[in-house]
Amino acid sequence: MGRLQLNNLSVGYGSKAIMTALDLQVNDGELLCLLGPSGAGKTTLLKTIGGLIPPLQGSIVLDDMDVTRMKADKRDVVLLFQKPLLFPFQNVLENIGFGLRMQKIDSKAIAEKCHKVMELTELTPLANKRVDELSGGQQQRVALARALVLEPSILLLDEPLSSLDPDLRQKMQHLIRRLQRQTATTMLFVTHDQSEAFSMSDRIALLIHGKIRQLDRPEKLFRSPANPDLAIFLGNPNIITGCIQDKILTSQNLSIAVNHPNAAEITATIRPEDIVLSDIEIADGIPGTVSAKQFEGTLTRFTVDLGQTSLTALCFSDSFSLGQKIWLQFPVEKFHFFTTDDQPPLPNGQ
Amino acid sequence: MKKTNSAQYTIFVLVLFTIIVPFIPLILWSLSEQWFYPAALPQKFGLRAWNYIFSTAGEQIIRGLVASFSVALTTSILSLFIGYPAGRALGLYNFKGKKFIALLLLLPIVVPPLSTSMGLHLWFLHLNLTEHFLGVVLVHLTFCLPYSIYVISGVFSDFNPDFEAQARSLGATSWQVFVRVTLPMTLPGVTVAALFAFLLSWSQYLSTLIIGGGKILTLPILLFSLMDGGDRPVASAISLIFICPVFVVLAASAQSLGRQGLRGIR
Repeated sequence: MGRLQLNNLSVGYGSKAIMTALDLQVNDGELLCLLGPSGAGKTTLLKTIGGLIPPLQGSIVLDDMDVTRMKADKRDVVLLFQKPLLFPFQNVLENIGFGLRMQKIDSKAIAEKCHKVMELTELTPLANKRVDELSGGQQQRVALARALVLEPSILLLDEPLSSLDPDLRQKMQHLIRRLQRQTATTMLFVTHDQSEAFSMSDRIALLIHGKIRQLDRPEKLFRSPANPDLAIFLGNPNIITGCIQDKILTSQNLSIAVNHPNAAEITATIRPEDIVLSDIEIADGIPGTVSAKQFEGTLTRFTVDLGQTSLTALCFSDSFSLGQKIWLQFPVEKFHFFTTDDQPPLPNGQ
Repeated sequence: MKKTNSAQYTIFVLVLFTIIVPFIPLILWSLSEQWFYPAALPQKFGLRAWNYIFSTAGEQIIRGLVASFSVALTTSILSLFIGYPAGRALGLYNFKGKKFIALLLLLPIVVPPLSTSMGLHLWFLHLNLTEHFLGVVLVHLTFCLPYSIYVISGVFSDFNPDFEAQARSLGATSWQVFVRVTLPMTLPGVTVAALFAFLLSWSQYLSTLIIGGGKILTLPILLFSLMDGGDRPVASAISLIFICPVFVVLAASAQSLGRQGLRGIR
């Protein structure tokens, strides 16, 4: 069991609050990502939930028990730091057994649990290695095993993969996800990396300027951000404001066919990768000129000048050149509309 | 390859030589019965000095050893108890007046020990601490404590307190965190600090004489009185005895330091 609830929580140091009035619920067995820019106070929040910093206000409820004032070592919560923080005077096996030894469990049971978790994390061959002989990825795996062996109600992860190479990072993401499903451990994962959040989580809480702006499944969050600011944060700069009359969206000199009822004032967005570019004239295509081109590997980013506005498109092809006249096509089903009175949704709303 | 080896060997021999050189006359003096200028070696060897030390003056010297040892041990333990938290505060945290306190700590080292001891003597007279074991320990502390604090604060300025937070989160109580994590990780520095304090206290003469007033007879006090007596062989023999414990302490800690190194402190 591991259900975490934060009620009106304010965190910070001394009198300086970093985050105020935070409400969040993490369901049993889910992996919830807190996605937000660096320096948003995510680490402070995790330390507060872990009991290492007292909260300034509000309460923390774990499995229907108020743990707001409970000491860190008594809380059934383990925090995994950004650095592996393995104890240098102990080998891998001793490191993994650290938490269990603190509970003064009999050594046979400790050994049994350690070996089980080492098998899960594929660390068995490294059991007797000194920790300074391990690679960065192995060290982080030991840290993960050291936390999981305690079977906490909830595991807090503070960007544990941010210091790893991209390739290794992806492997660790899969490992964490697999272990999370196998052990059904509730996890609260903090990251500033969007692709990491999208690929790992059951749900994502978008944390910007100390507030949770949206809480949703990754696909939902990606396709239907709650407001234009979130769309921009999620890498979508194409915000079009205008009116809709007879299924035509008019904005300045643009007229685009959409599938939406009439509206006097509306904001729409379409993701860069959903815009279709063509160098020959197409029906319903809107002409524009390439004003910037940025090769990004798999995709190429084009900024297309449409007279008074410009839009960004991501394309597999990199064959368009600067200044070239091209035609843009907007698939009607790819548009996402914001209603004018857009409020941040209730944090607990699905 | 061979060249570096021989260079290393030469350096090793030179270092060893400079360490041993001062002791050669001591050993010779302690074994001489007759040694007059300008002879390079004593005219007559004998064990008179060593006989004197182990029989006639044996009891006195053992008392001196015990006095020195208990003063140095108490001083080093106390300077650890005070120096550990102080060093942690200076090394790990930022607070108002930190630089001033760090400067203040240097004062007993910078000001000549004679002035410090004379000044303290007046105060200790008022407090009835002169000619007393505790008084001697206290005056030794004024010279040892700055070193202990500086060594330990150096260790803590390289110590990542997240290790403690991680241990707490893994279910260790504050006491367990200290015993199982912080202490083992700072042990090399603690050993060095204790050693500094012990050796500094062990070789104190002036402050012991002024505050102890000749009642606390540590080995250096005995040594000076014998040297005053002009008996070179006996003074040399006592000097050698005086050095022995230092070597024992150094060798023991060097081994533990070599094993632990400064591993894990980053």
